[in-house]
Amino acid sequence: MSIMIQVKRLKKEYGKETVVDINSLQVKEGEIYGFLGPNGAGKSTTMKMLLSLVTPTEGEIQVMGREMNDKTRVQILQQTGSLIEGPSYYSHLTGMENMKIIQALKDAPRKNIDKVIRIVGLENHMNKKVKNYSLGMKQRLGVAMAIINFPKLLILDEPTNGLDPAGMEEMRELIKSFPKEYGITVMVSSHILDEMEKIVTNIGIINKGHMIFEGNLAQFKRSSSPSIYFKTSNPQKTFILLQGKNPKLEESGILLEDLSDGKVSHYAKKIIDEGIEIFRIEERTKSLEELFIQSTGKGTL
Amino acid sequence: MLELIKTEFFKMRRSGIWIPIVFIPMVSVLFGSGNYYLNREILQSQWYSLWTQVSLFYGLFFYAITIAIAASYSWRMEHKDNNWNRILALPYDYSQIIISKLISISIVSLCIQFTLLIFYYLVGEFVFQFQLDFPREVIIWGVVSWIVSISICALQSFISMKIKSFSVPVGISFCLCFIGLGFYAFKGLGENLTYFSPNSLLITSMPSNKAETFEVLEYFKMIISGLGFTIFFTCLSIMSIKKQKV
Repeated sequence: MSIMIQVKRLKKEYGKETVVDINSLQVKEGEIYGFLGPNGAGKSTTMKMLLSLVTPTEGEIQVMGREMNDKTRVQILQQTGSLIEGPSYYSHLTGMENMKIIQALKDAPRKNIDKVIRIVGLENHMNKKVKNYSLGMKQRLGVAMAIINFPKLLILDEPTNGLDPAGMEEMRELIKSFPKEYGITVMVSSHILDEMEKIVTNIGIINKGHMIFEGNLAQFKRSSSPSIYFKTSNPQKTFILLQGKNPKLEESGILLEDLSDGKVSHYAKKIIDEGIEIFRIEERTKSLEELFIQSTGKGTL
Repeated sequence: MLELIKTEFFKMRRSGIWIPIVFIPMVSVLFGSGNYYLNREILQSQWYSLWTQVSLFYGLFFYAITIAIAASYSWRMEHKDNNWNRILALPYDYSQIIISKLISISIVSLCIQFTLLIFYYLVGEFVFQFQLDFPREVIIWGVVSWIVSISICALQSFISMKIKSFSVPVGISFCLCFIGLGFYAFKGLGENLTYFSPNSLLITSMPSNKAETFEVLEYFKMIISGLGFTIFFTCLSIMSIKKQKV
């Protein structure tokens, strides 16, 4: 499996402010890479540097084995599709006219238009002016434009922004189909960390311009032990009893972090000895959001 | 590259851009014809006299401002709705993007000029019913001033690329027209001052106060100067895109 994007020490400064400073970023062929982080973490700036829309202050970017610079960008961009900071479109033109423009400019076969609009499910709206599209339809048009030439690499910046839950699910399904059905490698960003969990293979988590984790999603989730939930007859009393263990009080139980099997049985016994009944002991895997908060000590918003 | 230029015209579809292209030259001819009609006693050279009146406001202000509107319109489409990101991610050199914009605006400028000449012809032929033949010089002035206008297209394209507003570049164009008029009229620094601003070049290329032919050398100087400004603003635009990425 070859490497689609390889970044070494990438840095972007605006004046004295460092917006992006990452040591490495690697996207492999055929995967869906989730680029996650809160708003303002540097996701868009990084993606713009990968596409040569922004010049890095320092660092080296290789896309499809070639160094990205002013000389190579045209060749690289021929095999790339992108959607950066929301969809781009001419609102006074129809969906079909917008598609014709991008098809001509990307020198894609005419028949691709029908193909991609069917993929994104816009075939019944092509004669409508884009200004009358809903945000979800604009996003889908944006994706259709990005894949018009079935690029090797697709870079999508927050493609689910502004979509309703059903639209988000559709977008995820769509993205999921790209590597398998069309051989497109996808790098997708989101400020909602959990959103892409179901479809991505590898992730990069960025915060304040720094990559705080990069690698396999499952591995990341394993790196932190699950929390244990005790549902008891008296949560308040349980909470006071285990005060020293930093419990979290919930409506009908308490939550404890980092417990070994031995500790679980030890605390269970302690609770029962106090005369509190235990109804249920559950293992809870943490969401990416929670893991993020845990590793940065802060929320994403 | 050809695709880029074709696309520029495709984008103008169903837009209001044709309204100023038709309307402003029409108004120029109306103004000029009115002036001509009121001063028939003095203006006795028929086609030539009408031309001096028509080209007066048109050459001084209207032509350059219509070009400014076209350039603003063309760039506003890219400033709006996040198109800038997509344009820069297209597999084309920045120079190709800038030059195709320039070519499309220049062709719009040709359309403006063409509309002016049509209205001018219609008024002269059917309203005033001039006896003389349609003067060949007018065609030459039309072509030369169009070539000169390309430098205004390059200048306005640069301004509209840099400024996201629609009206500010048009306002700037209006100011530049006055500066151009100054360069044209103020001979204190020498006869050649007019060759040092695109707007005064445009005024010069449309003789409104002397209905006589230029010397070949004068045409040559005008075209060379216009070409110089065109190249200058085109290079400036390309450099500006590269700098903007920083």
